Amino acid sequence: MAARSPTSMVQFNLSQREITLKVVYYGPALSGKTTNLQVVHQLLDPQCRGRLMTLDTADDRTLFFDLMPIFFRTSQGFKVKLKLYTVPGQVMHNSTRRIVLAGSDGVVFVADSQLKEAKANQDAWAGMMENLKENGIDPEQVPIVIQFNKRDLPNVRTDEEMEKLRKSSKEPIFKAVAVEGKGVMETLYATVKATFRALNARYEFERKFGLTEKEFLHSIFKNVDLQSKGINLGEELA
Amino acid sequence: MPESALVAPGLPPPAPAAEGALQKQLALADLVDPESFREVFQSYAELYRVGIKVFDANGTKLVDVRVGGGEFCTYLFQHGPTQQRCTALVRQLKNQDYWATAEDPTRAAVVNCFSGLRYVVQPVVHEGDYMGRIIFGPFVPQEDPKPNPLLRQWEPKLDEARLVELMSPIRRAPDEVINKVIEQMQKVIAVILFTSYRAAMVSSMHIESVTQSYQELMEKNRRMEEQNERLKELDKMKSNFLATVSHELRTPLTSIIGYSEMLLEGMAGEIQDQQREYIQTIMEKGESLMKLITSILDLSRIESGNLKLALADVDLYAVTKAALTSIVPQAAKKKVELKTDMDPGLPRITGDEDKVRQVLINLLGNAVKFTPENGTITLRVKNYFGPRKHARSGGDKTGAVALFGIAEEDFVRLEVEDSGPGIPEELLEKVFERFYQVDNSSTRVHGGTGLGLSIVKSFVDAHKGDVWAESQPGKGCKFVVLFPVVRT
Repeated sequence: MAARSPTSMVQFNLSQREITLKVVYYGPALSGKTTNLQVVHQLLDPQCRGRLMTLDTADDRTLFFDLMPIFFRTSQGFKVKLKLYTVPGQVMHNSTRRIVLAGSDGVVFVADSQLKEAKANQDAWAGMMENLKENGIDPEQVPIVIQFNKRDLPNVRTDEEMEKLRKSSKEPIFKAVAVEGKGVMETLYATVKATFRALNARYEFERKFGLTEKEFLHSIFKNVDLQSKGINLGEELA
Repeated sequence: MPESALVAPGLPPPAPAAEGALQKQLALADLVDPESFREVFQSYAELYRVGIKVFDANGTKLVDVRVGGGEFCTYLFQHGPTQQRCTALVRQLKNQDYWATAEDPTRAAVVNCFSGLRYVVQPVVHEGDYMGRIIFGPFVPQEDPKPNPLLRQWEPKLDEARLVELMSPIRRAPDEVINKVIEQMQKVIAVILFTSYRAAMVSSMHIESVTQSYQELMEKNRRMEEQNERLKELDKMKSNFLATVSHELRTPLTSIIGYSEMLLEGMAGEIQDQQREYIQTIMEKGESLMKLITSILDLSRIESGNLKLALADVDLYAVTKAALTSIVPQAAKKKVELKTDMDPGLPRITGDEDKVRQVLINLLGNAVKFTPENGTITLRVKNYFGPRKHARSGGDKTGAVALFGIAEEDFVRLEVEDSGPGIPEELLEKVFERFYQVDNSSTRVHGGTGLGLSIVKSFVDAHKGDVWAESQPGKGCKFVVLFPVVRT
C-alpha cells in the first residue's frame, strides 16, 4: 500500500491519507540516546505519542533499538506519524545499527562530551556516515543535528570549545544534560524542523497536503510544558 | 486496486521491499495469538454477562462470544418484519468501510437495536492506527429496560408477555458501567497489542540482523577463498620456478664436476699437488652444491604436488641394508658406531622403495652429522601397534579428534637414535621445517642444506605415515617414523 523513495523512509499512503517519517538517534555506546527518548516520552503530550518501546538486555543496554511513535492528524485530515528510533551503541551491533538507520529522514547524533570519549564519538560518526551510505542515504542530504550530551560531567569540552565547534560545524550543535531533561527538546525540535524542511523541499508537503511547517511543529510540541522546564524552542511556537 | 493507483503523480516510486524489518504494518490477526485473545474476551463476557465480538481492520472476525439472551433475538428473527430489521442491523455492525472510514475512527459509537437492546462499538486503536473494533452487546439500557413498543406495531403476531420474559435474562446496565468496562478492556488490549507488537518487532529485527550478518560472513568467506586460491596459485608458481631454476643450475654444474674429475684423473695432463688440492675443493663444493640443488628440486616437486609414489611392496630388510651401505663410509670417517636392531618377520609395506630408502638415508645422515666422534647410532626397525603422534586431521587433539583421530593402527616403526647434542623440546617440531637448523651456527660446523628432514617429512606424509623427533638434550635424540601396514 505504501510508496516510499529508496533513500528515505517517508512513506505516503494516500488511500489512508497517511505520512510516516523516521528520525534516528545515533551515537556511541552509553552517550544517552535512550535517555533522550525517555525525556521526550515524558514531556510530550500523551495524546500524540505512543508508548516507549525498549528492546534492551538485562543490564539496560539497548539490544536492538528503542522506538517511540508520535502521531497527529493535520487540519487537512492527513495522519502524520513520526517514529523516533535509537540504535544500539555497542560496537558489536553494527548490523543492527545499519538496519535501524535504513530509511531515516533525519538523524540526531548524540555525542558524549567527556574528553575521554572523543575517540568513541569519532568512530561512531564515521560508522554512521558509512551506514548511511550503505543504506543509500546521502549524508549531505539528510538533516543531521548533533547533541553534545553529559555537559554536567567533569573533564568535558569547555563551552568556548563548543562555541568554536558550533561556528565551524555544518550541522547544528546542541548542548544537553539528558538525565536532567536539559537540551533534549531543543535537539528534537531542531531535528524535526530540519527534517520537515528537507522533506518539504523534496515532496512539497505544504502544496500537496496543505501541511505547513508551523502546523507540523505545533502539532508535536503544542502541549509540552515548555515554560516550567525552561525550554526555549524559538519564536515559532511562542 | 493496483498499488500505483494510490500514488499521486510526482511522488517517489516504491522502493524494493528489502528494507522492511521495522516498517511492516501488522494487522491485529497477525499480532495476537487468536486462542489467547479469544480467552481474554471470553472471560470478560462471562464476567459482565454481555456478548463480545472483535473484528480486525480487514473485517475478519477474531472473537465471537455470546452469553444468553439468544432466545429473544431468535424469537424476533422468526417473524418477517423484525427479521428484516435484524438483518439490517447486523449488516450495519458488520459494515467494514463504515467503521473504518468514520469521521473519527477512534471514537466509540452507541448503536441502538430496533428491539430496544443496545450495542457499543469500540474501535481498537494502536498508535493512532485503526486496528479493528469491538462490538459489545447486546445489553438492556438501564433507562429504558423494556422491549421497544413499536415491535408489536411492526409485527402484531409478537406476544408482549413473551418478549418481556425472553428479554429478562439479558444483562441490564447503565451506560456509565458499560463505559467503564470498555475503558478497562481497552487498557488490556493496549497492553496485549504493545507486547505483541514488540515481540513482532524483535523477531523481525532478529531475523534481519542474522540475515545481514550471514550475508556479511558469506561475503568475507568468498573473499578469503579467492585470496586463498590466489595464494595457492602463487605458491605453485614459486615451486615451479624453483624446479626450473634447480634444473637449469644442475646442467652446468654437472659439467663443472665432470671436468674437475677429468682433471683430477690426469686426463688433461699431469697436475701438481697444490693444483690437485684446488681442483678437489672445486669438486667437493660442486658436489655439495649439487646435493642442495637436488634437494630443492625434490622439495619443489613435492610442493607443487608432482611427487608421485611408485607404489610397490617394499622389503624393509633390503631397503635398510642399502641405506646402511651408503651411510657406512660417512660413519666410518667419524668413527661412529652403527648398530641395528631389526625384528624378524617384518611385514612388507606398500610404498615407494626409493623414497623409503631416502628417508632412512636422510635420517641416518642427519644422525651421523650430529653425533660426535666415537659416538653411537642405533637403527631399530620394529613391528608396532599403537597410535600416531600426530592426528590425521591436524594438530588439534581434543574432542572428537582425540577419540577418532589417534586410533591404534598397525605400523612398521623405524627409529634412528643418535648420541649427539639433542634438540630442545620446543624445537622438536621445527626441525622438519624447510631450511631450519636448531642452531644456525651448526650449519657451518655440520654442513647440510636444512632440507633433509623436511624431505623426510614430505615422503613419510606421502606414505600416510607419521614422523617425529624425541630428545633429551645432552643425551642425543631419536627420530621415529611410522609406516602404516595394511593387513589383508
